[in-house]
Amino acid sequence: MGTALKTSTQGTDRSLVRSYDGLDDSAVVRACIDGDNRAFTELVLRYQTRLLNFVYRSIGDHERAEDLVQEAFIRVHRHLGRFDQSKKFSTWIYTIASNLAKNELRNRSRNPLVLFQAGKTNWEADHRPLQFEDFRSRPDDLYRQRFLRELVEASVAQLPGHHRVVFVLRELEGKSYEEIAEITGCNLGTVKSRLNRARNSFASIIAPHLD
Amino acid sequence: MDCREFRDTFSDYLDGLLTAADEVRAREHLGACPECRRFERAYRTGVSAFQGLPPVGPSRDFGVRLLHRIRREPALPTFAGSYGFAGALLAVTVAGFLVLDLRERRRDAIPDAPESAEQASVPPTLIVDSGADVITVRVMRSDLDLPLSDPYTHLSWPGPSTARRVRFDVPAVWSGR
Repeated sequence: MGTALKTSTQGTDRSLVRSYDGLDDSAVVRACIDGDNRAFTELVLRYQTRLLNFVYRSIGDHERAEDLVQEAFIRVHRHLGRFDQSKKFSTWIYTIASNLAKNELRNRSRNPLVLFQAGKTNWEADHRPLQFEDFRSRPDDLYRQRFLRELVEASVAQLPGHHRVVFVLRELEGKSYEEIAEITGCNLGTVKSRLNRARNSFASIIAPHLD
Repeated sequence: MDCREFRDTFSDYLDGLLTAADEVRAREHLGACPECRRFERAYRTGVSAFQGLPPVGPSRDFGVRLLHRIRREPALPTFAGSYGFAGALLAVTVAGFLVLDLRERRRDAIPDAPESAEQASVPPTLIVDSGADVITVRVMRSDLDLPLSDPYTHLSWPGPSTARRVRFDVPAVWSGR
């Protein structure tokens, strides 16, 4: 399996890769295993943003999240030949990313000096991201939206790591309980229990600020 | 249903996994309990905002860095790659013993005096076979042995009794290919 990864100014550019639009993941994976070098690039294109958001929301550090997502792709590249094609590729790659995120959180718990980046709430006005704001909104609406985003990020950051991963997989990625169980390596009961605790904690943290 | 039971079944309630009867009980409790109603509304507002957070995208050099890292992947399958941590540990342990053994042998073989020009020109490759034809360790002593593309060619030779580079030739059956 070669490395025909094409790059551009923003991540990896879809326009440079042969169209795989009609193919599902399993077909792309098969093509990749059969030696189609561009198929791996297609897998990167399909998953780089999703994985990055998942890992970023799980660990709260964008730069580190990129490193971990890269590591996930490298492991996929290295072990794709051993991937059980009867299973879902997305679950496999999320499992790899989840394990990397879990290791990162475990390492951080041993080194408490590393902080959860999303927990910061002291944005300076000039540093706030503006590109997603709706300019038709009134200033008080804009303020409320920004306040809510920061509050939500801070609230998620306060969840314990193993609760946060389950919470992100469910609420952000829309994974089923069974998929979450497979990704996290937990049984279904543990997933349900963690998700209920995470949801209760999230609501308890956020509710006093929304009155 | 009381507040505690509602919180215990909160996740199932959100995902619609309660039985019809429990669903009715949960809704009745919400209608009667302003605290749980506030709790549930806060959750839905918060999750909606969470799902609406702007997605983070990969940085400009994400693809370049990924390509670079993949290219640095070893061409040969590694023992560690095939057998995980235990394989890596075993390989490192075996390598350690072999390198120590080599250094001992070379200490006996190489005189303390500096080598003459003739000696230095002798091809300095030493191949040690484990005897079981399983692992071969090759110690290269001069730049003559290093391919031009070798990333370590700029490094100076550390000393006559130090292995500069150890290469494992692992049988295909070990690597699973």
